[in-house]
Amino acid sequence: MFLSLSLEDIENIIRPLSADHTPHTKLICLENTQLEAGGVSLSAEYIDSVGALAKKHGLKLHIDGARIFHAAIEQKTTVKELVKSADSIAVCLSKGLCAPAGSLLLGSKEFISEARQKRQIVGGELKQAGVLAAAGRIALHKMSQGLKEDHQNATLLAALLKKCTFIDRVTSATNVVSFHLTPEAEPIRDFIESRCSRGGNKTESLRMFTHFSIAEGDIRTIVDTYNKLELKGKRKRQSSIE
Amino acid sequence: MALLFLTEVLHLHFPITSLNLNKQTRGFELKLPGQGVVESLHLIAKIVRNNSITSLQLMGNKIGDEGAAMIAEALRVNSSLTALNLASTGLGDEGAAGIASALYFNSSLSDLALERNNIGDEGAAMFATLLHVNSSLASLSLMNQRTLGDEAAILRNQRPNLAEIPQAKEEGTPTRPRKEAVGKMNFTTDAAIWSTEEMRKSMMTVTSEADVINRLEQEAAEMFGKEASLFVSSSQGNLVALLVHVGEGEGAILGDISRCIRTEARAAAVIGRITPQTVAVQPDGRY
Repeated sequence: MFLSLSLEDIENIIRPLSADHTPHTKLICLENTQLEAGGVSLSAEYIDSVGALAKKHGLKLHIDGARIFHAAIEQKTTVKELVKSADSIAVCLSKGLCAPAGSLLLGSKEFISEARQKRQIVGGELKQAGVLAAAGRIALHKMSQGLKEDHQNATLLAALLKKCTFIDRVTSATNVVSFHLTPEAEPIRDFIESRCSRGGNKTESLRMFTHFSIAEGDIRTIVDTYNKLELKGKRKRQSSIE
Repeated sequence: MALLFLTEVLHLHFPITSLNLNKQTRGFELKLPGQGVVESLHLIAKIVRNNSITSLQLMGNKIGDEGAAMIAEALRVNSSLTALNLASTGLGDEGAAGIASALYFNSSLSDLALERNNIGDEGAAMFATLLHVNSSLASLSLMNQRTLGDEAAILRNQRPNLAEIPQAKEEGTPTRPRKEAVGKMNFTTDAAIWSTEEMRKSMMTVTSEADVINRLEQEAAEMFGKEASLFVSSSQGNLVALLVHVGEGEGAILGDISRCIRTEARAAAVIGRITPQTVAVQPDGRY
């Protein structure tokens, strides 16, 4: 499952300035945690190695750190450590942190002053955004702590889902649980799908998130409901056969 | 009890510096002959007031709030005691509040153990408040309280460096509150979930818009170890970064299943005329 990192792939795709007919590569983007891969987190070592590669080729490194606090917890490190070789980072204050809106873009002073201009260009200036920033501060300082609880809940959810006969290929990382339905789940497919979001475009997997509004009891309740409905469907089918 | 009786006799003649009455063996009672626990505490309180004792260990003796009040009373005038152990003594909020307020007057106590009691938020909040004015306390243990809530968790997290509690509290102590809104059961996203009560309150009390944004940006930059930061709307973060780093027609290497590609890079391609160069993302999230 865990394949080796292919920095090679990155290196192969970099188009040097000497190539006249191809667009010159300027940037490498990483996503941490990588949602479509099931919420897996990247280690600081890997990011640093990509950072070194970028430097070697004169590229910048940007990290889409929408869920970077989750990554920091799983990697048992700090966000600072995870982004030290990045030139810029985008951090979402909503995802998992409950802020109603807003992200933060971080980088050098020059980068930020340019970013301020570009934000204006894309229509991103907000008047009276202090109300959003106020919630954002709480997200940044308070809600970023204790995400471990969500990870534990995700592990619990994965463990409970694994016991269901109509669900297979359950994986969990950080606050994301991914799984597939077996044909057995057909009668309750709609119900389960309404409780999940769709996985990546490569697979047919379903995804469930744990977050601040999901407590341990909710997880037991939802899996219980899945099981009960499935059992009910089974009985119904049996009685109709009889 | 013989020990305590001996103590009563002795303390009249010799200054007592350390008194260990931890209840380690079954059958040991903190009682003088013919008296209750609380009455026996009068003697201990007296010893504390005498100002020679440096360590008092009463772990496991069910002195309760009433007993704690007597100890607290004596603590106010004491200036010698450095270590006090009241673990498993049946202390509630009231007792804890009493001890906490004694810290207003006491400036010698540095080690206070209150594990395994019934101290709740109220008692813990009292400590948080009093520690604004007390500077001697270096260690406070509130582990394993039956009724412990958020307020105490603040203190618990900060235990190694108690003097900083009040400051941290002012700045919004980094402790996530307990789970709320149980039963909404939205597993489909972790982004469009409801903001917390505290957030909504803080949003209502914003007085200077620019100040709050500046503070958020500064604090974030510090947290991430970068020079500066910019508050943007959610999907603009990546877009703006791409626009700054990559010029028209130039390439950006992105994971084939990254959010940048699936939901955002179209914007970078449309607005920034950036060429996405995709690399396959491995199952472990690496390229």
